Amino acid sequence: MNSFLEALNHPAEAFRSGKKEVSWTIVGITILLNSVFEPILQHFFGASSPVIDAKKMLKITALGVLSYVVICVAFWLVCKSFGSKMAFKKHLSAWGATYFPTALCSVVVAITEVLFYVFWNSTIWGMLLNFVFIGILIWKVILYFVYLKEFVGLKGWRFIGVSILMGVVILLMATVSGYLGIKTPII
Amino acid sequence: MNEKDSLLKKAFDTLENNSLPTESQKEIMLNRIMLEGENENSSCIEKLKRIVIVYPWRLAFVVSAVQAAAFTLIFGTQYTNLFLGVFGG
Repeated sequence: MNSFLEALNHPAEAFRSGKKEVSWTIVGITILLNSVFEPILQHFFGASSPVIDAKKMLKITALGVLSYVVICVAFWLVCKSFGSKMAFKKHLSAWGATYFPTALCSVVVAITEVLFYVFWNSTIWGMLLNFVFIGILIWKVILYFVYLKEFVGLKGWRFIGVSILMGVVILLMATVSGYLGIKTPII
Repeated sequence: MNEKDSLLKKAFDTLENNSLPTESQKEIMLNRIMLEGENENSSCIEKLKRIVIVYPWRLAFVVSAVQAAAFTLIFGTQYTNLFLGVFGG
């Protein structure tokens, strides 16, 4: 539990400690929220009540795992090309600690889709949703920069270069994830 | 008498050892002290940077609350529906 709190409140220390169990648990929860929680919520509370498709659940789970590996490979390759000597395994163990906002986003996206009519044209609910979404976005961006600066140890033009290049990779992956049916990209 | 003394000494030693912090606790304490030390000798920008690094989610939601309140007051549901269309549509 302490390790999870550390990842939540002291991400830089969590990256350095590199506890892969913590990282991978958060990633696993995020993937399951996308692949299992969202379709179940849609089935029971959605307007069209779609049938639960176990095959699709497995496909989204596998794509989620693949997505996490791909983003770690991208971090490793891009950071390496900018002079970082950090091993791939370290990226694989640490990046998952940034998935708290991603997991929260998965829950909010699922609820928003199902209860779309509650939020639409409602000032209070809309403002609350906006507060949560933008908060999650800023939180993830902060973790991204903390990861590159405090964990990978990039400085100056290397930091800017990796930030821009990885930003492009993340946008591309988010687009592909949406195309493949992952509502919240596992990145 | 000597045996009794030795037993008492052992008991006190055990008590003393149990009250000592473990290696991981020592490391956490050292990290916290170093962080405090860095904060004391740093400029305003450095302090702000440290707050962002240590409390990322708190800062993110404070900024978000400010923008949500301000832009909703200015643009109303036009603004909130825009985000709903992007993230929840």
